[in-house]
Amino acid sequence: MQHSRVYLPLKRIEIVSLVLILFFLIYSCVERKAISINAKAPTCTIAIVSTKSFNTTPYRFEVNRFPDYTNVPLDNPTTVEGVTLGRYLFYDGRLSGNTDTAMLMSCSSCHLQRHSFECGMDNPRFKGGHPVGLTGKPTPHSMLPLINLAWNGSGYMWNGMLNELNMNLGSTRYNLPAVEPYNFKNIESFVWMAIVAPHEMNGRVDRTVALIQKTPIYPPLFAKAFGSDTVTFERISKAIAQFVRTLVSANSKFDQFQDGKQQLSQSELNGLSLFTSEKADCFHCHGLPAIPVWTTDRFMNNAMDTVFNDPFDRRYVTKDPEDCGKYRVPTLRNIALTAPYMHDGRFKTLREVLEFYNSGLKQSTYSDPLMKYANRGGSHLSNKELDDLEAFLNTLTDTSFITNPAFSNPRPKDRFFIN
Amino acid sequence: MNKKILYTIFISFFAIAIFSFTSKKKFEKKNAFGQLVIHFIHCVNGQPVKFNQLIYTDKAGNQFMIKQLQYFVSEITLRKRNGILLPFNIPKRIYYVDNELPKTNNLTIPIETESDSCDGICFRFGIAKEKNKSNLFKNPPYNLMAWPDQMGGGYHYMKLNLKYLNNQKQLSNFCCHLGLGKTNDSDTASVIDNSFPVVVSSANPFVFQSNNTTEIWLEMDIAKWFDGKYCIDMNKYDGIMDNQNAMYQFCNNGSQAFSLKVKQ
Repeated sequence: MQHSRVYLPLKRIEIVSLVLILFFLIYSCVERKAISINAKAPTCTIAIVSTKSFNTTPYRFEVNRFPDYTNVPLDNPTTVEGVTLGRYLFYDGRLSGNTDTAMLMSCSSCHLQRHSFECGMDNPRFKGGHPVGLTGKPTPHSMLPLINLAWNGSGYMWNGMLNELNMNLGSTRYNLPAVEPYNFKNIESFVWMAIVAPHEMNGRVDRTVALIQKTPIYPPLFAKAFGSDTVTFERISKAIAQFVRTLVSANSKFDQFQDGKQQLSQSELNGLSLFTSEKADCFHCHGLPAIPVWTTDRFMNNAMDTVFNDPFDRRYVTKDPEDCGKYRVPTLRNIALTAPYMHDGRFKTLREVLEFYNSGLKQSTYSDPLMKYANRGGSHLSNKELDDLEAFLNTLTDTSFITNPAFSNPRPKDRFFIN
Repeated sequence: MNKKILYTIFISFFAIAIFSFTSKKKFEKKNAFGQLVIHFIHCVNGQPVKFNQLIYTDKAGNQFMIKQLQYFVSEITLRKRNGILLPFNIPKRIYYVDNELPKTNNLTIPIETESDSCDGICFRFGIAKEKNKSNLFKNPPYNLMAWPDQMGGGYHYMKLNLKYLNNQKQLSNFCCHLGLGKTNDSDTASVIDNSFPVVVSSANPFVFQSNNTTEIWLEMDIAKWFDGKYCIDMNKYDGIMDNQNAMYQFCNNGSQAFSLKVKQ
């Protein structure tokens, strides 16, 4: 009895000490986690957190020279299982909520791998490379390729209407509630827009969810990706967005040249020199080798027109009259594969684009000052110089990207899976 | 005996934990002394700049409008009234200003210790040659200022993009882009550092007070890039990036384009 009475205070101290140690351990863990989220690798941190709850595998973006951040949202870490599910959904025509062959439509109906996930002039469904929805209504603009979007920091679409600053939620027009899955911010937002828009699938979100839920291949894939086999629209959009973010193109001939694995021809080198010179002056908008996504991602008026009637140019987003005729500067990666060109698809070949910058510029108050030669029509390069420029642009084509099986149709013989 | 050892271990852990906690608090207190906010502001002939309006006339007689302004400043230090430079921990050694990105127009610097009052600010316009190397920045918007390797590499010091009415009264574009220069005298090509140091003073000294924010305004008068020692006529140039003589003249003028404002 006496013995135990002597050590009773010690037990209290032990308990107090344990509590304090526990407190400091938790405190330091919380601090460390916060720092890593704010640091440059949010993807990894969040992905690791996600694996604890339902055993997913973090997907890691490892690309030389690219910016050292991605735009992966905190609530949608990229996982191997999520990407796998997203790939199935991306190609599945039942995303439209239909099962009739003629009414099937998926992301891959318009975004073809062989065209760097752009429509392509030879698209079997859309003549001239301009997508048309299931209602027969064309999209307001031609397409942009789905590549390297994980590094996009200035919003999506030609006018940047989907961006992180956009606080809009839901859509009364399509009876979609004002909740997060229906935001206007990121790649996830593309999915609901594609499903409901009349110039795309013209469907209903609830119908799509129900159809995917009763399709036997999906519940197990949802369970692996999200911890339960319940299909929700939020999960559909998250999975597709995860897959789209993995569409990384970084292995062109020019990348290999930068890595010392390839030689460029004299014409290609001449083209590079012109591209980065004041004479052709392509680099101020499209970037240099030091900008490996090959776009500045800014919105510019490139002196194509003097009258601006498009209600969906950059003004649509900013409401600033100075932004008329402004559109996103597209990436030049795989540019040879992504005809037609410009927001309205007016140019059918890369040569036509070069000819436009050479002699077709039109000066206006709104044209960007970086179009330095606008008041004299263009840069006036010789045919030989245009040939060299085109040769250089062709070195940005990444053939391993357009043949990468990880990005291809997972069930090419299944009638529901498109292309 | 075992319990005594346990007791010692627990007490040690406890002591370490208390020490860590108090050290952290001290560090936070040290950082929390005060802060300096430098506002980067821009004017034309002393009046706040209005972008996208053809309302300005330069010394050469050209009417012009300002569309975009982006630049780097580096090596920022403050100058005490006795002339001694005040070192401080600036979060970024190289700072980027962009009129289209409002958050870049303010630089907040934590002030760690009390100091005498200051009356000036020193900085380098652009980036010194030894630091201005290609691939220094991987992320936008910094990497979007890249300067072609064939022109010396590194990054633009400034992109000042304008439109003006030329001699034929046609609207024309002019890009005042500054960076490393290159001369190609005979067979040798050498890279020239066009960045330059700037020292600006205020008649009103400013001081740092505990837990207070001190604000100063670093103003660039855009007109002075054209109207200094050299009168620059935009009609004479398509672009100046490949023209070392033009960049030299602009930088000479630009060294007088800055002033410091302090709230009285």
